[in-house]
Amino acid sequence: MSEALLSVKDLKVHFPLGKGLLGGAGGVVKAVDGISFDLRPGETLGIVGESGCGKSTLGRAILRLTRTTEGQVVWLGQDFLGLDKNSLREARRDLQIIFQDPLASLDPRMTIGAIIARPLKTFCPDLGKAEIDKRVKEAMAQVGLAPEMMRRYPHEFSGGQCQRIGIARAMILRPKLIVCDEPVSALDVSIQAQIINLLRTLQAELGLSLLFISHNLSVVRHISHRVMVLYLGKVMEIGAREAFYANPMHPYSKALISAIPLPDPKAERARERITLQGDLPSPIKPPEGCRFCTRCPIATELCHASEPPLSPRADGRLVACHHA
Amino acid sequence: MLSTPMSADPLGRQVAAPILSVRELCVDFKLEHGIVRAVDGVSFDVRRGEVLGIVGESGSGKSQILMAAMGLTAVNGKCSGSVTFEGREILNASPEKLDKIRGSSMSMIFQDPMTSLNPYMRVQDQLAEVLTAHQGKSRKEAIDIAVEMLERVRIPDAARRISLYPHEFSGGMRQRVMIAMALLCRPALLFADEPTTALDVTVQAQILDLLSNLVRDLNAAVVIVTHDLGVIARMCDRVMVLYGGRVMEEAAIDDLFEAPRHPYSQGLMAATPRLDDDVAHDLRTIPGAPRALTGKMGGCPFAPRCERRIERCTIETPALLRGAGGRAAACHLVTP
Amino acid sequence: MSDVPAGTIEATLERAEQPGLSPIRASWRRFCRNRLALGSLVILGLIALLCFAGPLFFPYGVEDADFENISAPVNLFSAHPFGTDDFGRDLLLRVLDGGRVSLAVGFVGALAAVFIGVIYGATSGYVGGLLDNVLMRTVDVLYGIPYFFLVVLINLLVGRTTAGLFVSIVVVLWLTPAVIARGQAVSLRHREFVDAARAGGMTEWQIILQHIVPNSLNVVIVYSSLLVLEVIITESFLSFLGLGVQAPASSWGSLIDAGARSIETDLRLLLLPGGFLVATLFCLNFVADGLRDAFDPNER
Ligand SMILES: Nc1ncnc2c1ncn2[C@@H]1O[C@H](COP(=O)(O)OP(=O)(O)OP(=O)(O)O)[C@@H](O)[C@H]1O
Ligand SMILES: Nc1ncnc2c1ncn2[C@@H]1O[C@H](COP(=O)(O)OP(=O)(O)OP(=O)(O)O)[C@@H](O)[C@H]1O
Ligand code: SF4
Ligand code: SF4
Ligand SMILES: [Mg+2]
Ligand SMILES: [Mg+2]
Repeated sequence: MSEALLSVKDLKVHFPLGKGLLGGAGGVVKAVDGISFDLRPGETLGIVGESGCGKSTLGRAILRLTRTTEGQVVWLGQDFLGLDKNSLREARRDLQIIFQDPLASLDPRMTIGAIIARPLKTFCPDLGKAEIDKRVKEAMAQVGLAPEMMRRYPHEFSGGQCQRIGIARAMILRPKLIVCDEPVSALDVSIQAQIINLLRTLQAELGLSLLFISHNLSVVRHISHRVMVLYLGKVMEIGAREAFYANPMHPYSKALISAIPLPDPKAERARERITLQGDLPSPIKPPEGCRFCTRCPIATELCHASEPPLSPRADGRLVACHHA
Repeated sequence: MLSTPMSADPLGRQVAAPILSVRELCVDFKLEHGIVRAVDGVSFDVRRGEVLGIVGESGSGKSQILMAAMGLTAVNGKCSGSVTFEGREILNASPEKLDKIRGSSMSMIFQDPMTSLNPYMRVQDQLAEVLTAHQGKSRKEAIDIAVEMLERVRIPDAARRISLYPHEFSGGMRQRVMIAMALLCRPALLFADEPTTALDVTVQAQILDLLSNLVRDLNAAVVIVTHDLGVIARMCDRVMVLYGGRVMEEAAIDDLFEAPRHPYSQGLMAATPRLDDDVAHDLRTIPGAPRALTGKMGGCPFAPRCERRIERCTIETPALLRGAGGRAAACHLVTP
Repeated sequence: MSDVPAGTIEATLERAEQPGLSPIRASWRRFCRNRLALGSLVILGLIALLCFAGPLFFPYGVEDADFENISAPVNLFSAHPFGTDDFGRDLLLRVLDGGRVSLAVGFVGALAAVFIGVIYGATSGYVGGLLDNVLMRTVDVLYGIPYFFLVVLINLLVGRTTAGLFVSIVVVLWLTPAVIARGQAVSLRHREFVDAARAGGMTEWQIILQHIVPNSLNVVIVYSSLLVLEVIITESFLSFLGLGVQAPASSWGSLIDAGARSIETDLRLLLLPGGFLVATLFCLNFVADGLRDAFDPNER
């Protein structure tokens, strides 16, 4: 196994709730509650899970866009969370992010040329104007944007084009890791396919690593090498793609896979779907024992009593369940 | 059973009269440099108990069709054609008339939950307003019903959270609040614009079940706009494929998924990632970008990206031809 | 029909070669289409030109008394087209000179107030937390101090000079732009492009100056135009009360004050500066209206 590029150790992000916000005083939302994983160079880790389970928060915490409560992020062997301002800036060169909402992530008052050039100007202040121009045009060509569009503004582009602008901005510094927070969920199918192919190509050419957050499990399957399933701020299952899709082990993973809507009406009607019953737990007061026990179809006494550890299985997968 | 007026279909069979009937709908927007035609002569019917899906390129006018029917077209827009709801013309109708219908028998789940909820109003007030204004319920009653509805759309802690402001919900929860609001008045016709994009698949499945129940229990009609062909396959009876503001193909879902006939529908199907396809290969895409809607148009809107384009395509706009089994397609190379 | 290009993609690319329309330029275009606002802006420009350049063409200064023509009547073809006052000073010249002060205080004062307010508010809103609390409570406290108390206090501290007047106006008027800019910054802080900038390694100051401030401009531009109006009125009012510009310097306000005192003897002393002031205020009002319509963020 090659050396990890990024390794996250027992990361926790808790948001204190303002007094009176939820009626009661105090309380914390444990958005990310002890997550650990490694990411190798050139690897894509798909992150899936319920809405509100902490996927975005995890991505943002790794980039230090949100304050971490506890835990470690080791980036290229150094303690990323402990870096001082200047080293952090320097390190950010290699860590970029693509956002879910393509238009919202672009400053409406800057031309797209300026938006894409911005990271370059920050990190290579002594590059000449001509050189910057050249690199911006290269980056634009790489993501399939006509370089002539440089002087236009974000609102003049469609969602798919805006997303490419975001990708070009993330790519221009040749980073080692890009966090993709639902990069395709706002896009239609043909543009979604273009973006996924683009990311795959760039990954193959430049060997970059991706953290790919998405609700769309078919898309995750197409781009990830490994898949991580989160539930209420914790890892439920993490493992290689083939094994995960062929045989999801954790009951929540099973429910997820069985709930994927298939683009085939006959198969849709024929299939058995696991419908999750039971109450959605609140992130402020997660259930005792296994977090999934309120909705798990095979929960037992043991599940309510003790929390299952994330333990390795025969095929190298890690699963947090007493009965899987 | 609700009484439904009957009428005869082209073959003389008695079928339920459509609850919504759209004819030659056009929506034009006035812009700085001219006029954009976002919807270009769209016609369709929806009957009670039926779910119609609309798919299509982003910017192809899907949302604008719904907005026009709801009387919510932006100020710089102009609608022409005809939209009838239960036989009454509602396109460009007066706000009072629309308000009556909108609050009681027709409602909409909007695409962008953040901008369609009032940020300065508590969720409970926004939800209760729907009921107090249109059904004469007391505030207390209204809030109870609203809490129940929030529970049905799977918002945890609904009773406590209902007094929060929209920005205190996560993206997916806001979307569910919108859904709850649209379902509160138990509409006979529901427009759902990308109702589940921000939701994970298990919650999505529950929401879709909720919509199916609405159709079954109330004999309602639903129009769903979505990019997700899986959602279409699961929910709809019929699909309409849109490109550049025009209908490209219309068919029953089994027919469309089995054998899409229009080149754009085929491209769309091919570009959809599936759970059983080969991940070693790139996904199929439709080359090129959607065309700008400004300027004079002629020919097939899909022509610049169509692999099967012939000379005639760029000159003559193909008409939507209707054929057997309710199939229709607009392409010079396809006879429905 | 055949004149329609085959591939609309080419057509799109062609259009792409022109630079895009920036949001500010688009708003400016909308402004220019508003005749009333554009006309008012032109008139405003003419008034300013008259006030600043006009006096250079007079063969005598503001204070030069022409003892041969004391209280000369209006005679457009004489050396004193609008006559003179009871010291023999040229009336038109005095009004134009007063306009200099009024307009300068108005524009520079508004600009200074907006500048200070926007930086202050944007920082407060963007940084948030304790700093935000402290900065905004300060604003609240300043809001609470009665206006005239402040003016008198500053008059005492700085002396009754035009500079003192200027300071007291700015001290009071930067508060509202600060609150507005803070509101903008708070709503912008959580926008994803700000996160993108942080991930892109920009420092907090760079983000405030390059992303937050420019994006607050919409609202600020509209507000500034109203502020100019407010400053001019305030200055005139203070001067009218004798708290503002002191003789021998004059502004429209102090001229009106003088005019009001000789209202029985010479109505021109009131009407001429009053006319200029009212014209300016009307124009400013229409311009502000036009700006609001053009820059209203809800419109796009
Ligand atoms: N700034 C914040 N203050 C308080 N709570 C927050 C904050 N940001 C996120 N949360 C809460 O943390 C939890 C996780 O949020 P997060 O945005 O990471 O979810 P997510 O998995 O990305 O969901 P989605 O799929 O809907 O985007 C949610 O319950 C959310 O309400
Ligand atoms: N107020 C407006 N002024 C000008 N053009 C508009 C306006 N509203 C919508 N449009 C244009 O109308 C076209 C159709 O928009 P619509 O929102 O219906 O697309 P859509 O099919 O719903 O796309 P998406 O899948 O991205 O939501 C787009 O090209 C859009 O730019
Ligand atoms: S530990 Fe128990 S409750 Fe949790 S997932 Fe496994 S079976 Fe279900
Ligand atoms: S009409 Fe021509 S261009 Fe249009 S879809 Fe058919 S073959 Fe393609
Ligand atoms: Mg998220
Ligand atoms: Mg839409």
